Amino acid sequence: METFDELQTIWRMQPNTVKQTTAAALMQKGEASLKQIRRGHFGTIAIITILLVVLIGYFIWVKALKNPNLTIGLSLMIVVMLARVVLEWISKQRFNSISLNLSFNEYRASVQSYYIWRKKVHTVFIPMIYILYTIGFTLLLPAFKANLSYGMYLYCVISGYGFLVVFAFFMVRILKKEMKTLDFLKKLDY
Amino acid sequence: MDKKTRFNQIFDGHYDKVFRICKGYYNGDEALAADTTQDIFIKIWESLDAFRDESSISTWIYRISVNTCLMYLRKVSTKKEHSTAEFPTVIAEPYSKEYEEKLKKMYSCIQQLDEKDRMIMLMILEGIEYAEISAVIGLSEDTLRVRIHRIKKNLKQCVQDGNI
Repeated sequence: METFDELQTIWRMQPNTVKQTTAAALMQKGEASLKQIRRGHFGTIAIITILLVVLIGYFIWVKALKNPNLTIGLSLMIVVMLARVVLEWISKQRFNSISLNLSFNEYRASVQSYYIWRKKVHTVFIPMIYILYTIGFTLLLPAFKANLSYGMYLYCVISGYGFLVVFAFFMVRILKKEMKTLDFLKKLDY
Repeated sequence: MDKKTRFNQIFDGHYDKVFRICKGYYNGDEALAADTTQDIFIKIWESLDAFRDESSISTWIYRISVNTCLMYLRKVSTKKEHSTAEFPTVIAEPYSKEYEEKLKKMYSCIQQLDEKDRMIMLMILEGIEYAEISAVIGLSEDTLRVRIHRIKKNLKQCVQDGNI
């Protein structure tokens, strides 16, 4: 049987791989990535602001306050959509705040705690958002039926509920993937 | 020393070791190791201003490396499939057939270790000091020594028999 030193020698005798990049190229990519992060922060705030302005504008335009169902329905949809965007933004911030300069054990524990928070988001907050959004959308339907042609009304019903089905499908997929990561991290906890 | 000079020194001094650690972690997958190593050095560049000499620069680099390796596969798994099951067949000329076989066995045995032990073993093989490994992993040196003793024994046994 080989001694460990012999194994170490074999390991170190591995031929060196030709570097596929240079320090200069990586510095450039690093700078580009930093700019993208800054643009990303600005982008999120811009999206939230635009979303708010559009929805409030629509709210005023359709004179929603004259119709209680429309008021409740639209308000619910606006609030939960904003809540969804804010939740994702908080999640992103939480993950980005985990320093890579932690020891392996500390890093694993921090990432695990992040995924426990994500589990809470997926199993508590998202279902609540989903239900409230569905209620909000359903409350809008009588107004749609009264004001739109039958074809347009049918299109709104199918696309609206269709979106909810597709959204649920993607949420379940993301949940499964993230829970797999959480299980993986838990296994390292020893 | 300005940031660029410092980064150049880090790149020249650590690229090969970091690459081999990633390659060992991914069962010899060179493409995946190259992608991860690139990601690691981009992160090093991004955070270099924040490095405060609270630990040695190499501990800082290895911490970023092992943590990035741990999560990288999870990040990319949805974008593309990476095979970590096969050892690359291309081995450079000066390496003898016998060594090539043993190296294959080593990769396969390292793959059988759990994630933490795999990282520890790869750092030992790179000749990183125990004190530094202890700071990178977050284990006391005493605990680490006991663990290293067991992993080394397992690896030797595995290279001999094929199983841990």
